[in-house]
Amino acid sequence: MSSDRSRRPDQERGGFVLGLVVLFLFTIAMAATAGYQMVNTEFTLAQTAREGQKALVVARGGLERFLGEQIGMVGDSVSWAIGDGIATVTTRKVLEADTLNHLYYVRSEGTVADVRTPNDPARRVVSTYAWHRISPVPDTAAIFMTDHTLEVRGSARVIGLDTATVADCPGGGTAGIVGVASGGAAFEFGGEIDGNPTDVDLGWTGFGHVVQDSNLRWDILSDPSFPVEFDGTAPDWSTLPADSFPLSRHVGTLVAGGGSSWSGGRGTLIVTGRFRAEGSFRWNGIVLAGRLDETAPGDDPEILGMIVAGFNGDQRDEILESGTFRYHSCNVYAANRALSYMERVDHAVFEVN
Amino acid sequence: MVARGGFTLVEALVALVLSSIVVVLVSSVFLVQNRYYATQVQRSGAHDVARAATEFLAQEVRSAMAGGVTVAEHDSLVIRSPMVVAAVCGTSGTYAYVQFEGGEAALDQDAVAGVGVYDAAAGSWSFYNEAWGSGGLDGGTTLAGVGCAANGADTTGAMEEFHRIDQLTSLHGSVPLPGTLLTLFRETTFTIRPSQLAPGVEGLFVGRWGDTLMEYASGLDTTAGFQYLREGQSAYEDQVSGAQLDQIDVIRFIADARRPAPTGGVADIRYGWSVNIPLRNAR
Repeated sequence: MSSDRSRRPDQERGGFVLGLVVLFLFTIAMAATAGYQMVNTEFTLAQTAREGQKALVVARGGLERFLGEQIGMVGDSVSWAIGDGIATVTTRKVLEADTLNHLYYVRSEGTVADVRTPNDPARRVVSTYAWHRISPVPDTAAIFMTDHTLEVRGSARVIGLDTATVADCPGGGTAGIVGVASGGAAFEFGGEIDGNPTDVDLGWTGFGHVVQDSNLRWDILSDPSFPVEFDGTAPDWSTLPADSFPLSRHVGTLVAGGGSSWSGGRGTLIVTGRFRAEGSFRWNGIVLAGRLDETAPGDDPEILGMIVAGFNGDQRDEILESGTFRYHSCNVYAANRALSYMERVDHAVFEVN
Repeated sequence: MVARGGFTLVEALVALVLSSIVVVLVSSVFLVQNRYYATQVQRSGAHDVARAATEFLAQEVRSAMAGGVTVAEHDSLVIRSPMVVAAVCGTSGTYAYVQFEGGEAALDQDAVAGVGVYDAAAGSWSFYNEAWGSGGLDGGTTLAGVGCAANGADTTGAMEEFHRIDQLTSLHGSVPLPGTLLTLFRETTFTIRPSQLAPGVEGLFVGRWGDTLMEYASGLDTTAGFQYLREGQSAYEDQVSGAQLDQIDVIRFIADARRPAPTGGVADIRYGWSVNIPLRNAR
């Protein structure tokens, strides 16, 4: 009995202390748990908001890139990895205002997947409308150049009358265009200049009118980083469909024909430097040149389409001694499509979600 | 027996003192922890208020067009933000056929405050306040897709995205030509004024056009408000009015939040930031 009584106070004290410790631990654990839950919720909210912002940036980036880089025919869908996410751009044509101007709905969806939410990525969608300018280079003249004199001598012929007929393409067989358009002068010294409604139009005064009036961003087209279908070397035409009019580029001076790999072809040819046609060079389409060079007697180059030259600002007076430069509306139309681009409708970017 | 059976007075006093010290220490830890927790709760609440108000406001403001701000004061902002942007792809009589993502199903018709018509030549929007279905502005899907397809629209798999808007003539004076952009917009009012839910602090009240303002976020500080940067200006202004409303390029939201001090605290919990929100479609 006495020994039981002597142990009881010790046991009661021990039990009380243990209970106190458990109570404190429980309280602290509850507070810690609540705090953790709160911090975790805050973190999740902040993370979601941040990823939503990232997705919006990705979507905007995709839209801008598409509108900036799109050239040629409009595809249905394209995706890029941008920043931490992926932008998928899709288009839908909503109007054909005419044969050369189509209105598209352009939609860019940006997704950003976090390692914690791989199956539920942040998604943001932005959209806008953009005009597809199918034929950006206006049919101005068989040779359209800056303020300098063009002499057409010998066997050279510059003809603005349309070579194409309705049998070549719908809309073919037009009344034709001017032979030579320039702000300088043009003379026939044994050669031939012909066109409609006039052979020569010298109303394009002011240096640089080619750059302004051709509706082209020469700085972009001539930039080596601007993507073209064939860069530096002529396409292997045998592998291309007969109705393809690709976009090709040669950086620097090009002496076409006369032993060059560029013996002929079709589409749009961008020559960032001087362009000289020799031998039996043949081209169906548009030639855009930083500068047009002369042709020599005895050669027989032929361009069925248009030449637009003088973009570099170093154009000089030139003499064409040989060659046929003749407008062909179907070739120009087809080549123009390779240069077609998207023009965003201003003030219409809309956040879909 | 006597020595084993009890405590001396000294032993009891020592035990009492030690126990008291332990209780005081543990209680202090608990109280500090509790106060810290309460502070964090308040801080978190303030953070939530600032963030929620900012995100909601930013999304409304970002897409607004030029002319989309109708009231620009320090504690009040009324903005027209596009619910959809649509392109006219055909017309028939007084009907304009349009395309917009999701079509009618994606349109909260009750929230439509009016229609805006874009003048591409002038580069400006004309806005007309008119509730959807009120007679001046209505819609439907009848033949819209067919009408647009006749003009070259690709309706494959998306016929529901083509929509008919009626009676624009009475609002705009004429049916917009194909290629014209329209927007169906909501007009949202943001006002900062004393909170009804949390006395002592300010609240952000939000309301649609014609509706009663609802308290969207409680716990803003009296320093919260709006500021405006106009085109060509370098300094923000607290108020813009009249023709200068069309010049607003950026809206700054000063999202200062405040919560009462937690029990035992002496100072209110303040948290906030300012965010500059550009009107991306304004210029």
